[in-house]
Amino acid sequence: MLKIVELCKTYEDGILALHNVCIDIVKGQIFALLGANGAGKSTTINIICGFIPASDGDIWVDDISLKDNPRLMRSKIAYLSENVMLYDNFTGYQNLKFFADISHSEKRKLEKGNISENMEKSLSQKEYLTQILRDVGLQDDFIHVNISKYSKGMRQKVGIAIALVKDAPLLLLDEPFSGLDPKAAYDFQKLLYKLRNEGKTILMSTHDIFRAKEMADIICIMKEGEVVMTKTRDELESEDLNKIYLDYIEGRVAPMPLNMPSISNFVVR
Amino acid sequence: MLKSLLEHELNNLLKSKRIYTTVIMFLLLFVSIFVVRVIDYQKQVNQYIDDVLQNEEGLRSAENYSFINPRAIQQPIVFSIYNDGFKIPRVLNIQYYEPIIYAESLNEEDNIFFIDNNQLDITFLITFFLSLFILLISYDSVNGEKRVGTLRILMTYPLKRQTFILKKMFGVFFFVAITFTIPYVISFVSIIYMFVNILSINFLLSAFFYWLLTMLFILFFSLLGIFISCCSTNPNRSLVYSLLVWILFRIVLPISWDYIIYPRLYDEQVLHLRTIQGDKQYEKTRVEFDVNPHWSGNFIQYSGEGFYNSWVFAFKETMDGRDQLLRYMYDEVYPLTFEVEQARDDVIRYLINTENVKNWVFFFNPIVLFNNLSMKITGNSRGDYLRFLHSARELRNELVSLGIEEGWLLDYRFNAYVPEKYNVLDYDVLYEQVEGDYERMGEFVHEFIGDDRYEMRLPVFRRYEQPIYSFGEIFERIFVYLVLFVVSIVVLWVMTWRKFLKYDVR
Amino acid sequence: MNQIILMKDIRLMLKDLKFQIFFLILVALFILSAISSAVTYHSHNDEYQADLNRFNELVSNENYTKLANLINHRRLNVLSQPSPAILFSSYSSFPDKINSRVIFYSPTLDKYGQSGNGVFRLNWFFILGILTGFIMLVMSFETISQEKRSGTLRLMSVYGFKRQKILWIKYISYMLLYLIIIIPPALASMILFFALTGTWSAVFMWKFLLILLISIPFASFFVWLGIFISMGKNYRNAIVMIVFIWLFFVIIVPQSASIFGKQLSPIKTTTEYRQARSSAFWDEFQAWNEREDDRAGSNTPENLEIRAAAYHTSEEKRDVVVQKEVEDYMRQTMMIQKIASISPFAQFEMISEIVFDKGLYMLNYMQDTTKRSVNQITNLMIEQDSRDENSMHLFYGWAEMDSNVLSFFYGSDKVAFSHELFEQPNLLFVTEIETDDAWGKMVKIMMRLLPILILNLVLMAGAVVKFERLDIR
Repeated sequence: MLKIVELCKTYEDGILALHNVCIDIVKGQIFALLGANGAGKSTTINIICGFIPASDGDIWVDDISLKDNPRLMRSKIAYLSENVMLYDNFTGYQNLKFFADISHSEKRKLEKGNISENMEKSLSQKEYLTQILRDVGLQDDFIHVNISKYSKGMRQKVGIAIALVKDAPLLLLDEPFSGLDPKAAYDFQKLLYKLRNEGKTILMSTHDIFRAKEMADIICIMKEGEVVMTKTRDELESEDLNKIYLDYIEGRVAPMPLNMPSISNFVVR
Repeated sequence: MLKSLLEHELNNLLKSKRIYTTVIMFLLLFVSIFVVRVIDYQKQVNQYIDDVLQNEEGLRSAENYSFINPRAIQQPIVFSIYNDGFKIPRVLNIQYYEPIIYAESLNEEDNIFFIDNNQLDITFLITFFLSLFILLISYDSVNGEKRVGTLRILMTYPLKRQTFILKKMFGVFFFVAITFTIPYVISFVSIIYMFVNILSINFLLSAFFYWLLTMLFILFFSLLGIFISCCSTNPNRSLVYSLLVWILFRIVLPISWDYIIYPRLYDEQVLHLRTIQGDKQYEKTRVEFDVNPHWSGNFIQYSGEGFYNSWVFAFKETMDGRDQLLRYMYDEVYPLTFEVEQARDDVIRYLINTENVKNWVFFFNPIVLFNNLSMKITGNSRGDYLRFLHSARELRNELVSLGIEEGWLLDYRFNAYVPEKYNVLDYDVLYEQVEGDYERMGEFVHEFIGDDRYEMRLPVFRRYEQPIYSFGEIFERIFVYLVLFVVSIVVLWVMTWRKFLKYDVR
Repeated sequence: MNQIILMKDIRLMLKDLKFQIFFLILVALFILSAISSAVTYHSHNDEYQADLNRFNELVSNENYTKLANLINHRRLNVLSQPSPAILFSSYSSFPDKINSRVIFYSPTLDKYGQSGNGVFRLNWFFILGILTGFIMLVMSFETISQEKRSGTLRLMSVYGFKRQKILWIKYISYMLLYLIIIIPPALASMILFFALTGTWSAVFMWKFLLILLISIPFASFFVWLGIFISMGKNYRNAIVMIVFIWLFFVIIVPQSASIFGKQLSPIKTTTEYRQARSSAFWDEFQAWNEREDDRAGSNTPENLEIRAAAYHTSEEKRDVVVQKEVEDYMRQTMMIQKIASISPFAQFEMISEIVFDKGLYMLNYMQDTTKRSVNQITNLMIEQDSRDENSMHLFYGWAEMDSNVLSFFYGSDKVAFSHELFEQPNLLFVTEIETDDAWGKMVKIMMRLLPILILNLVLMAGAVVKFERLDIR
């Protein structure tokens, strides 16, 4: 599904942000990126989204290369940023509608008229969008209220609704749990499970080790721009992830070898 | 407490990049405008010296009384550097039977295709730029702190809200006041250095009052900026508000007065007074016109409006009739000039009155107030123009009484000298032919008459100089409006304070 | 797709408080400008009518139109009709209200064509030329940074379209917004003005629409400038700078243009010019006197011809000097205009002068027309004079003065110049002046528009390049 091969990034000021990052995710997995601040998690996501160019290496989503066809690749991903602000003067619904509209028209353009059959065929667009907002757990009272009155969790929900409406197979979540209250985080977690069951692939960066262990199918730890550990849920089943994380971060354990074969070979779910 | 807060406030201000942009812009503008104005003033002084020399040269070289052309010449006002104000033409030609109502400019470069409505002076800088500067550095003083979060922290200290507002205000005020005062003092000292004989108590007083007024102006706008900042939680929005307030104060309100309110209120009355003045002038012309045929009984030809020539010939023919006429002119026409002057003064006084009304109407708008008051302080107002006219009239009256005493006033030469009083159109013709050169005109007449009966004895002519105002006089001129100014500041202070008491600091 | 983003942008702006405030202000200003211009128009019209009546009266008066008297008056009266153009700008002097007199023999030295900086008057020029630039700047200075801050720029750029598109659509939406805030109040203002003054004319309607059209590239310039600023990190500092730049162009450039123009292209003082004119005349006259044994200076009947000829040539000499003087004035004025044209606002004003036949644009045509009229009148007068047997054909400036001498010696049968009536008295005043035709004007307008279009392109290219490189993380 998502394949990152030897991704390198050096900023203009010479700082090495990423060094030979290789990640491979199979469809329907939740992939968690762990790491200290500045380890390169956000940089990786930024490169996948096309916000910054990579210095070297390539990314494939559904066998579409970032280098060859960045625009087509971008249509395959949905993105949720750490701080979802959105248009202050619009309501949650209006924000969602705008992004829904551009994703639909874009799809029409890319697929030249072959619109895949959607749920919304049976529903009107308004009902469909309202339904999505309800699905992500936004209270009905707030659907038509200006975003500026939303709490962070509510905005997060609208953000995920936008990502859902885009109907992309790959979801990129940049620290989605930061700043959410326990209930909201729990709801969000459930939503992500639901999405995984629907067949979406999710890549998220997080600081929350426990939630990562609980949710993710694969966990990857990054340090100073390099992937130092990649383990599946089964491998970590009996281990203390917190200890492993600290060990890696504090340099007590040597990084796993980089030139490993494609990890999808031994990932079983 | 207040002192440390103030210190902190000033430090805080100094850390902002915006401040440097504004200060540098302000200083650049101050220096460039000052230099331009000084060059302009130097030019005015040179012209003034030219005018005076020309006048004195004319008086010295005159062979008889036909050739003299006394003028009241005003020294250029040094404060035009700070406020150009009501632009006073500097030269008044004193003509004996003509009412002194308009001044003219003499040795100036006058491009007939281009109106120079240049108003670049320090007052313009203050009302236009300084007001904007203050708003631009104070528009986010409260809501900016709120956004950063420091306001909440500050409010946990045992600190009165008034004190907070006060330190905000003084922070901005001191900063801008210093920014203004330093270049102001330097400019002031350099003027004294450049134009050596300028220093007088008048000058110092004007400078002090000007400075005082500017301080009040800065105080008002600092408060206004803080008030605006309290009105919105979003700094971007308050930036827009302050720009709008500035447009309203600087542009919309003055324009609405000049083009909408003023014409409705005063146009009719001004027109009425001007008509009275015009009627008087016409009346005076008619007297001269009617009287003409009586004395020039043996006119060779009276052809329409072109009788200057006829008149010249008439001189040769009837010396007795001429003497009668001159006596008649002195008795009948000369008093009429006073009436015309009176009517003209009424117009000017009325205009001064409307300006004062404007001050009252816009007591809350310091831009209007500052403009008018600084004119009064610097001696560039309409009132000073009136004073100049009065002074020239005094000089004229002295000359006339001297002429009567010595007998030359009732001589023909005097009249040949001022032929335009007979007919305006005809005067134009004559004026074109001699290119406005009065000496030529005199020569021309002399050519026909050629007679020196009197020995030339020049009266003592004075130059007009700007009178020296006493402290009391300046104070009297501006006192009421200063009080208005202070009242508006107090009102704004109360508004700001009450607004901030209710301000939601969360 | 484009449409969707466009609709979003426009809806966002419509919901913006700034927009609502500005719109209200513009409506108020447009209406106020219509009212105040109508007031001014009425007073100008009254004066014009009074002047017209006075001249009609004069022309119907035989005394005035006698050839001999015309030499005395020697006036060509140029009246200009008040026109609805006053709604656009009040052009402080020319030719909304002017009654200038052109002297037959002297080159025209009356004040009749002036270009002033009418910045702070309430009229369309103030709104379109000064305020809207500012408004577009304030509207657009935070557009990109806002999207960046709210994260929507990032969200949008994971959809598969070119990033540039966001920029273009923003630009287009601002331009549409400009039309929304300008056109309805402008039309209302125009209709109100026409209704208040009762001067409906299709020509002026088109002119007003044309000037609205011309204002678009100027607004576009400020939109690009605003978008460009909004991409910077320190955009609030930038807007402060930009306000100063705006003030610089509105106030400082036009004001200092006159100062620098005067320095670069100096003229002499009035006294010096007067002396130059006077001495040109008298030198020549003295030369005649020396050559003719003082006969030019004395006005006996025998010398009349010589005397007249002496005056005639002397006046011609003076004309040359005056012509130079006029050239000086023109040169300086043009220099001032050239310096002022650095400012886009001044450019806009100059274009408006072409559209409405005002200011310096009109000056040359005015001079041409008056010169032509003067020549025509002079030729007609000479022609008529030559038919009169009693006339001695002394058609020059001082002939009338000498006519006194003439009749003193010869009695009233001989006259210096015919006493017949002037046949076409209507030539004696001019109310309409021809200027370029529509095409000629269009070409001139395009030439003036060229710099601002180029500036637009430059800013646009800069904004696109900057946006492509913008760090949107």
